[in-house]
Amino acid sequence: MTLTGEDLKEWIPAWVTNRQNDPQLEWCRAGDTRFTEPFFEDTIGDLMRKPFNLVFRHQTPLEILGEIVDVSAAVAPTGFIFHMSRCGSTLVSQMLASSERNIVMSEPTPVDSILRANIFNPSITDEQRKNWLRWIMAALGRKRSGKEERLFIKFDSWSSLDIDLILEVFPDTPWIFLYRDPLEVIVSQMKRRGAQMIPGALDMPLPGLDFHEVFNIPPEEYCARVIENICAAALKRAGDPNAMFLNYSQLPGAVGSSIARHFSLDLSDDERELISSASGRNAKNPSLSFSPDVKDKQGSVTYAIRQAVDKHLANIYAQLEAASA
Amino acid sequence: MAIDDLEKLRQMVLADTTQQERLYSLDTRAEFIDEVVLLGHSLGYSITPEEVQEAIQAGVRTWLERWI
Repeated sequence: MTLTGEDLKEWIPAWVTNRQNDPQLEWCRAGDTRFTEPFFEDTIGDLMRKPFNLVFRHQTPLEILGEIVDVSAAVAPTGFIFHMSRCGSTLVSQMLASSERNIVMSEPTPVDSILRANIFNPSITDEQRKNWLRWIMAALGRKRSGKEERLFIKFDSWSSLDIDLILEVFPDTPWIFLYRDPLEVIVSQMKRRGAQMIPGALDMPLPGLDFHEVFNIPPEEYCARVIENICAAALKRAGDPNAMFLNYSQLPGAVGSSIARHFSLDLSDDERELISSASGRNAKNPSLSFSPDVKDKQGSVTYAIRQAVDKHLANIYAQLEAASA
Repeated sequence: MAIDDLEKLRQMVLADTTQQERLYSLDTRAEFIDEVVLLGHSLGYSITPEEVQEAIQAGVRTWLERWI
C-alpha cells in the first residue's frame, strides 16, 4: 500500500525500529491528541494504551518519509530548546505546551533515533541524517487541529552533541540553551540518573575516555564529563545571533519575557495566563505544585560531586554565565 | 488460514479511515476484540477473539521492546 500524507493525517511517528539496517518509522494513530505530557514518550505511551494502536500501526522506511510528508505544509520550527539536563527545560516546554497555538515535542524519540542513527550504523551519512531530520520535523509539525501556529522542539540533553548538524538543517531557527548550577544538576542525576549518565546505555562515545576508563571512574565524574561535553558543544556556538543562554534561576519568568522575545512570540493575554498557570505546576508531574529545590539540592552536595564539578564544570559554568550576560 | 485473515483485515483497516476512527474510539480491549471479530465476519474473514488478543499482546511486546 502506498501511503500519502493524507492517509497519515491522524497519525504520528512514534518510534524508529530496525535501527541497524533499514530504519523504519512506526506510526500510531493520534487523532486530535495534543502532546501536553511532560515528555513525548508519555503521550505516545497513552496512545499505545489504545487497543487500536497495539494492533493497527503503519510502518514506513525513514528513507521515503520525504515523499510522504509535505514539508512546506508543516509548521516550521519556531524555537529549539537545548539543555544540560535537570535544569528547567521540561518546565519551559510544559509552559509552552499550555497554548493550543503551540506544538511542543519534548524529547521526541524519533528525532533522537535519527540523530544517533550513525552510531548504530556507521554507513549512515550526515546527508541522510539531515534529510531525515528535516522530514521528521515536518511530520511532527503537521497541523492536526488547525490551531497550531508554532513548533517547539525540546531535544534530549545529549542532542546538543549534534547541534551543528541540527542548525545546519535549520539555520534560521532561534534556540536557547538552558543550564543550572552544575552542583544541583549532578545532585539530581545522582538521585536518579538519566540514560545518558549510565556508561554504555546510549552507546555514545565520550571524547577523552576509552572504554575501560568509562567503567572505572566514579559516577559523579562520569556525569560531570557528559555534561561538560554537552555544554561545550553548545558553547562553541555562543556567538550565534540565534542563540540565547539562560540560567535556571531566570525561570519561570523568562518564558513569558526574554524567551518569548527571543522566539518572536506574539503572546495573547490568554496565552500569558495559561503559561503563567503552567509555571505553578511540577513540570515532570503536573498533578503536583512546583516548589523551588535549590536549597535542598545545595544541601545534598557531596564531596565527590564538588570535586567532579570543580574539575570538569567550574570553567564551563563560568563560560555559560558569560554567554548568558 | 485464520492468521492471514487477520492480516487481510489489518490491511483493510489501515486503508479505511472510517473503520480506523470507529476502532480507535474503543478504549477497552473487550469491546475492541468483539468489534474486530464482528468486522472480520462481516467481510467473510474467519477471526477468533483469541487471535485478536494475541495480536494485542504482540503489540504490547513490540512497544516494550522498541529500544532493544
